[in-house]
Amino acid sequence: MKRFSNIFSLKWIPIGMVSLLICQVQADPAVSDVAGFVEKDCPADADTLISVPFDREQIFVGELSVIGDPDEDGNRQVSVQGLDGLGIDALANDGVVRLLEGAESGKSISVSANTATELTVNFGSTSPSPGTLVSVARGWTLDTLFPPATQTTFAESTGRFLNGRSSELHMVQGSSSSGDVAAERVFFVESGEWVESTNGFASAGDSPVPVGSVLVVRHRNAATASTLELSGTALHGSFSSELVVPAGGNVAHAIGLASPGKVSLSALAFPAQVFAPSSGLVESKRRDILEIYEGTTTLNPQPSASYFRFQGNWRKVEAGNPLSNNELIPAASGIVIRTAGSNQARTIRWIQP
Amino acid sequence: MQMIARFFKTLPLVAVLGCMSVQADVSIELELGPLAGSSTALGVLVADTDGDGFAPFGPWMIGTTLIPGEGFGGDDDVIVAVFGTADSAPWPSDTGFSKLISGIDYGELGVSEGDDLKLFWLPGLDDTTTSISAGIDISAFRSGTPGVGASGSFIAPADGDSVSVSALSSALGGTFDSGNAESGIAGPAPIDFSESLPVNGGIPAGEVVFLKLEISRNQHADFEENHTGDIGVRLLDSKGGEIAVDLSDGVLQAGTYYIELTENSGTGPGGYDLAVNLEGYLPDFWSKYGRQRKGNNIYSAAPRANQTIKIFIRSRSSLRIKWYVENDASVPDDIGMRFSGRKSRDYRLKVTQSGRGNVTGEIHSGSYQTGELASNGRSVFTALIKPGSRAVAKRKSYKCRPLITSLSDPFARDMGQIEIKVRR
Repeated sequence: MKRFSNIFSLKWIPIGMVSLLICQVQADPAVSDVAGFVEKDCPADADTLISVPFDREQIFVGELSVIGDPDEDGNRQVSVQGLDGLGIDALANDGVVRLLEGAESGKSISVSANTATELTVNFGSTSPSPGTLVSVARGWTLDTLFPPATQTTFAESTGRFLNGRSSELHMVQGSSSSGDVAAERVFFVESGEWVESTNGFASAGDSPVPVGSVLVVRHRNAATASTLELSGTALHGSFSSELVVPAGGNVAHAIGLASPGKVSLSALAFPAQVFAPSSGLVESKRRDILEIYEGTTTLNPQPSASYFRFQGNWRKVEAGNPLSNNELIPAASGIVIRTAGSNQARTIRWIQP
Repeated sequence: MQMIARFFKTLPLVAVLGCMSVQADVSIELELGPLAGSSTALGVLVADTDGDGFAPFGPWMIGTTLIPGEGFGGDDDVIVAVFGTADSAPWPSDTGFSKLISGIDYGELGVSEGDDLKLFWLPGLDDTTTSISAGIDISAFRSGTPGVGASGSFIAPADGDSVSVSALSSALGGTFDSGNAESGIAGPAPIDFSESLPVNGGIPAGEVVFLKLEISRNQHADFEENHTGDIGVRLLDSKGGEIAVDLSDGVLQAGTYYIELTENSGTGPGGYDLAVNLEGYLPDFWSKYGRQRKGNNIYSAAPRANQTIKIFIRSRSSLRIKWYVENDASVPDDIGMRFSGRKSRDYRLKVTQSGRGNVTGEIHSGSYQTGELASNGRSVFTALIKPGSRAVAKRKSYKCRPLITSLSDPFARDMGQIEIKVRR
């Protein structure tokens, strides 16, 4: 991983080069890997918002078949044409099915169990048609994304209680209709393993880390600054984030950007139903707001910059509201979208660039 | 036997000045322990939403439903989270709390950034406990300073913040000692007490008895207490706060009260005998015009025919009407007066009071008060009403409605009505 960054100044590697550099078992020769690598500074005594813009390991791509009806909890069996030979429940903890076409293209669904040929998933409100192209991937866990023995992002804690805690990884809630988003799970490395901060301090190395979620690297107490290093396979096909907005309420959505490179605001390509444009520049006329948290140097930081859309352009929340279409958001960033209240409840799917 | 008449001075209305809660969502990682002698405990994180402090231990905690958003010993102390100790694995001895409380929704709970937080725990109970029973043990802790390694303290953090709060024993690098934590019991169960239900009984040495008194309206209270032995008496509000006691008569606002009776000698026993006389307030408004006398000893804030003076006029002659504001209660009262309804543009009204002169402006503004009126005392007014030329020309009628209110009990009100019609 480090070797790549020494060789290439570019932080993500185009498809043509990847084939020379990466040997990866690929079940479907029609799908090519794009490998990437990102770095991000994580200052001491500070929170750094990050995302994971890579798949861990894609196993298969094929057409979906639905078997039978869902059970009372909505779980159902599916198969993917040509997929065979899986170990029993090999994907039960970290398997992911991603829809690659159709109305909900980009949606990821966790696998809860599997046989050699069948997967148990819960589509929820999604109703993919038989024949929909899907990918089957092995998602990230804490141990695979940040192996305790080799990762250098998180300082190892000397104890499980707060006074022995060094660095932490916070999983941020996906949305909040009651205020800002805050951590909903907290993990740290201690005695060579990932541990969750909860009653009993359970081992947590196999905790899934969903692509598209926002994570926080928190360096506290004696933890010194570090550099986040992530590498993996760029996401195949479209990747989407779901924004659920109840009627009447403002909602803060935490979204992990899936792009392996920098992305400009204009390239985010929000449709109006995803990101409501403002009717004026003044605060009272602003509707949805996008916040980024880059270069922050405190715990629980305020956004480093906020933007809104007005007459087809991005504007920055600061004196003069300068045009900001070309502002770049670094790779592996976590952003917050604050959707203004509307009269109707809506669930919006945003296909990330 | 000693006889003491205890009177309660006018109690100030409890002004709830707490900040309005706002939309906010926060996470708090809370660790506290170990709890000496406990292998399990149920934790209750509570926010003081109006800044008046947390309720002490007592019977007001009995029946508290242990779910977030409920009051804990008082409506203004709000439960933020309820959680158990899972196991003792991380603790060097006994057990303790180590809990990430996420998704704390200030708006839903009625909590605001900056509210004081306090951890209460019920030793020996677990998260199957749904409410607080009489007599159970309760402990509590809060500190105004962050514990070692913590990023926050026992204060509700800002929106979106994720903070850690720590109180660990010296063996774990902190200063917390569960042996020095506040402790008490929920109870004992109080004895119901009312004007029609006087109570008496014995109190074993060093023990406490609580009486519970519910008052539906503001009333004048006169307690009569007889006791044997060394018995201390305190009047407490609905969440255990002590209320100033004076040897003069006074008013109890509508609400729930506890009378705490303590055997102080420690060698006891003692005995008590307690009764209370409650007096309501009864302001009375009536009017006199010629032979008409309306409203005397009729108490209604919706004017009836027998409270209404009816006058028919043909010219712009002034009308002189006598008004009487009387305190018909057996205790002193201060009575306010204002007009109900809008000021007429067609009639001029001037009200004078014997000894005070023109009080029309005060009544219009709602600031008029009689001052203390003794039982059966009265204030007398003269209302001079003069129709304008338009009133006569266009036959405009007029209704003047003076409304009086006891300042001791805002529900004790009375009204009069002067109805003027023009005839040709």
